Amino acid sequence: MNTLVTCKELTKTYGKKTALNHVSLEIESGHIIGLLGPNGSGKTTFIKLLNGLLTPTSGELYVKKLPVGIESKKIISYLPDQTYLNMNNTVQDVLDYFGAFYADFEKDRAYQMLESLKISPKDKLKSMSKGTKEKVQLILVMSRRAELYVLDEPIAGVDPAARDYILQTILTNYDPEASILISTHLISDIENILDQVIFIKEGEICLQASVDDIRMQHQKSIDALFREVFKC
Amino acid sequence: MLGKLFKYEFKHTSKTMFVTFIVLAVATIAGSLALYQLDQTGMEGTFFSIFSMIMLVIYTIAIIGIYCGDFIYLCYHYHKTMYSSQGYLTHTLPVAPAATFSVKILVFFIWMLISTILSVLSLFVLLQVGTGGEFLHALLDFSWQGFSQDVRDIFGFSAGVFLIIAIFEGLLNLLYTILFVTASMAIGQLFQKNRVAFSILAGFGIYMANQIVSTIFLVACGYSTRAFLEGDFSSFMYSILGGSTAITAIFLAAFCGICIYINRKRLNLE
Repeated sequence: MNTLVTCKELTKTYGKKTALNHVSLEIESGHIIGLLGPNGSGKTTFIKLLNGLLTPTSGELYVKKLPVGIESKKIISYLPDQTYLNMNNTVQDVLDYFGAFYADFEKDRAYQMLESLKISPKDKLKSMSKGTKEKVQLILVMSRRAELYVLDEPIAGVDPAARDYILQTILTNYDPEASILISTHLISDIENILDQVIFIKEGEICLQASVDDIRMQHQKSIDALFREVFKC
Repeated sequence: MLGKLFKYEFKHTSKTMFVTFIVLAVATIAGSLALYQLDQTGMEGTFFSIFSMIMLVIYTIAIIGIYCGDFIYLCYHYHKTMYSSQGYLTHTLPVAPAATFSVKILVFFIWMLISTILSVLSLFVLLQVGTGGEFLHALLDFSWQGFSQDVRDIFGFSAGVFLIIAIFEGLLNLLYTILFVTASMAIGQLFQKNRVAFSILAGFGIYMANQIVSTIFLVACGYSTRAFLEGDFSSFMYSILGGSTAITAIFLAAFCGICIYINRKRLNLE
């Protein structure tokens, strides 16, 4: 197994508020990792730092031993927690766009997923419902042969039936050598697909362990442990 | 990658820009017909003359509005794709931040250049049609030699050089305006809240800095150029032109530096 992400003493502050506080962790290849924490715990901040959308206040962050930059963007496939596509485009337009810029983008795979979801490539994004737009974004992200998929709240805004499809899409479309980092607070929905979890609380990592170890050690589901750790 | 960035940047902006150009063409036709009508019937208070006057006013508003609208739209597009929701996609592409920035600025510049040329062309068509073809005759009758002599007398160089300098300064100022706005946006997005307000404040600050530097330079030129006091206007113009171009170039370099540094090292897509 290779180490994909290394961060040392990573800190990010917004004015007086500390979003991430001296976070140190490693993410290895071949895992589906849940980045779990309540709202405002620092999950999205960590993900944005990983994708170069924010710059750290202090600390170090490396993707395959390289600082965040062009090379890391080539191997990370990122799904943000909001719509980030040009709404005037058709699905076909965004497929062409991804195909042009990402060498690992597989258009055929994208077409297959679109077909299975009955989404026409000719449809304009602005004519779609919020859930369908999220599905299109997920299709784009999962159609890359990336080494690390970073999915920020991929199931937050969709109905339970669509959640199942999204999780199935994630599971069936990633390379087993790759890793998936899923940020969410809807733990019960994704618990079954995770093999590692990172609990993040008020900007600090309070737990990083394998799902099996947690179940053995605590005799609890991840959801139950999460509720205990993050009890208000 | 640069070619692809160019292609998609043009593609994403072309639809709106072409729509504004079509509106400009329609306004030009309407304005030309209105001016022609006025030329034929005079300013009498008939329905057609009043209608033509209104059309000319609408044309004037349209040509200014379209030019400003193009600029505002391109600023909006830049902001949306760099510091707003679409920035998530722009900044996660495996492309150097400097390349992304350069392409966006160049496309912005090219569209504004096209918009400028079309606006001038529109005015030319309006005057040509409106005067029943007299305008072109007047232009052809224009004495280039006389103009050249006047330019040589005032500035000390030929009319050709004068035109080249005028076009160069125009292009430089267009680029300055674009980079002034983008640098203000880049500074504004460093703040957590009220980014638009901080961008405007940053723009105000840059404007003040430019005014201070220019004033210092002008005062220095005015007092130190003995030639001006002795009536040698050309030497004075040389130093003013050279100095203002140098100041603009320095500010342009600073704007580029600010934008690229912030996009690379201080990006803040909260």
